[in-house]
Amino acid sequence: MANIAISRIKREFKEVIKSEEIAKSMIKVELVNDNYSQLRGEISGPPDTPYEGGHFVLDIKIPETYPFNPPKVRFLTRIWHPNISSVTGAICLDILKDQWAAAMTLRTVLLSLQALMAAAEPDDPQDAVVARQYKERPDMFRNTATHWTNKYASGPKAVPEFDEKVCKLRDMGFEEHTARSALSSCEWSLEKATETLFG
Amino acid sequence: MAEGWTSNVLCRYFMHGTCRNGTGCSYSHDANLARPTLPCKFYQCGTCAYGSKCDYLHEDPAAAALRTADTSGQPARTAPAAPAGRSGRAQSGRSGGGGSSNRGQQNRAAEGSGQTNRSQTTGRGQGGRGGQARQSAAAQTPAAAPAPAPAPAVSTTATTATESVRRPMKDLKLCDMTSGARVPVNWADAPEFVPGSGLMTAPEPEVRSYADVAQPAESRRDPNDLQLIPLCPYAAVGKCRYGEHCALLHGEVCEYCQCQVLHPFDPEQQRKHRAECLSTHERDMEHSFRMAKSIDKACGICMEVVVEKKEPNARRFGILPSCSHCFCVACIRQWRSSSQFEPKVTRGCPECRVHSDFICPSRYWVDESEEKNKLIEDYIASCSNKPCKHFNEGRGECPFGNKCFYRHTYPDGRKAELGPPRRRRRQNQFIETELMSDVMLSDFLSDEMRAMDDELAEEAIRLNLMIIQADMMDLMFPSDSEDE
Repeated sequence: MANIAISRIKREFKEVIKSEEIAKSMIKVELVNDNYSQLRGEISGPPDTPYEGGHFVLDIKIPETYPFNPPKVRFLTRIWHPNISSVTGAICLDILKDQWAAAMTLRTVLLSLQALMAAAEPDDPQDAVVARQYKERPDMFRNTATHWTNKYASGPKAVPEFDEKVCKLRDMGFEEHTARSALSSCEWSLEKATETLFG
Repeated sequence: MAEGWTSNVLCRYFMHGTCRNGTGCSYSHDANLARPTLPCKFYQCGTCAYGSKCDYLHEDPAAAALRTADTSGQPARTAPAAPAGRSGRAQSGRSGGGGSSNRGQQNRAAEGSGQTNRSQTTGRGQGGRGGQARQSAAAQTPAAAPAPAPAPAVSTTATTATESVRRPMKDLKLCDMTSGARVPVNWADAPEFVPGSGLMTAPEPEVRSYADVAQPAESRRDPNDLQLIPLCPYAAVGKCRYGEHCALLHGEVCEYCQCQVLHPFDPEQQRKHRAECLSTHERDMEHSFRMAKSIDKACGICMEVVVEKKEPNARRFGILPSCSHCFCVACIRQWRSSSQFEPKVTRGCPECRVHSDFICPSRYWVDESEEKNKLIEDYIASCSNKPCKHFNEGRGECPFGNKCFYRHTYPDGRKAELGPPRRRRRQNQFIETELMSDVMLSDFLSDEMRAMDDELAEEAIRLNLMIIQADMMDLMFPSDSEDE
């Protein structure tokens, strides 16, 4: 990796570790391998959102041309959010694409992602299904997001109604995550979800 | 070893902070190699024009000589009571303009067995040859002859000196320091060697050196000519080994630089030197003041403190005219030249996204608007003195036209009158190349309409220009503004 990228990441590491956010366990960065090209980030769900109390793990890949190009970031933890793919964890955020600026750091990226979780942009979606639900049935979106946070990001709040439905489908022989995705996409209607899964 | 041998050689461009090959350079960029090892002979004469920037070793000649003596490893045998006057000085000339002290010189002279005797007996002739051949700085000066040797009990001196032949170097040093009056520290103070008189016999008390005979001391000290006597360069840089017997003038101490450099009989020289000292002092003050401001400024892109960057050439700030965020010039240039983002993104400050048309390289950090304006004005002014490499004295075409910061002149010095900047091609939203240059709106209009629409067309062109102008300024800076 280019010299500047490594030295930048090393400095940023110190910066993130020293910053106040780590004290409040809001954001965290750690190394995956020795060459600083791949990192593991962690952000906690912002308060007063369905993601509150959850811990979301991110995969961060540092390109050779960093910081002149943005890092490649995606969610490893599954999340129900209009701007984040529920399947791949890919993120739709302008600063990670064409609005990147060389002075941005891992810390600002992680904080921006936290802000994105608190304020979704349904008009510029990454996951169209989620975005539609967000716009048309906000209550259901909130519950689904809470349920996903509870299941995948060890969030504190469970949604018993959804748990039951997932259980039912699992009993029918479907894999739990497949069942949950199908239900979430079909507005938690068991019939529709079964249809999708069998179809 | 044919390959890679250059990696042990210090890159001379790196030394000056201008190596373009960076880490890919086949020569060494190891700063430790830059440590000078050869003594600077100009410094030893007291007049090295490079000062602290000299590539050679600036070391006190006496210290250097001591070092040589200590490392020689042989019991040092000195030439006893070295021949005085010309011959002694000429020997010093042989050593490269008084490169080492008298002691070191003697030591070297005595290294071969039997050489001691020869230098005693043939001192004069040898001295003459040496002086002519090398024309050492000391021997060149007509008034360089030492004052007549003080007349101590020469026989005693000689005896002591012969004793000291058998002594190791260390003892001699001790002896020199403690009983400097008895044993001549300086060959300049040693008794005159008179052929035929022999070393052990006391010479006549009124022995005079050749220089004395040729030009008596009284005439040398004529008050009318005092102004013409040059200052002793050794005294100017520290100490003169002749002390008060020096034939040259020892200047008065300058209150600024604390060196003996003020000519006591030349007020004009004093005034000049003081003015020089004062301006150096002011420059130093300004430098340290500006450095103090720059010292902890870190680049927002590489996050390194700019003045502490490893490569000297990289220790420069790239000042943005529109905002006051701090970047090093290399980082901000790379950011602005990155092509994967829209110009709107890259032309903006990486911190605050405020658009800047160009960047201004600077050794120091400036944030006050007055200082910054001056820096930018100076930068543009210095650019306008350099020929534009696009225009290339009329052989090429400058895309920036009359908005270019650089000079557009023909080889005969005539100034070129260029039109507005040439517009460029760009891709539209359908990824087709749009030709934005040379085609005018009026080209599509009929003659009658053209007359009518001239105003409108001009307005359109003007608007277009305003948009492009910003980008074009940046286009030329990354390549053209390498030097300040």
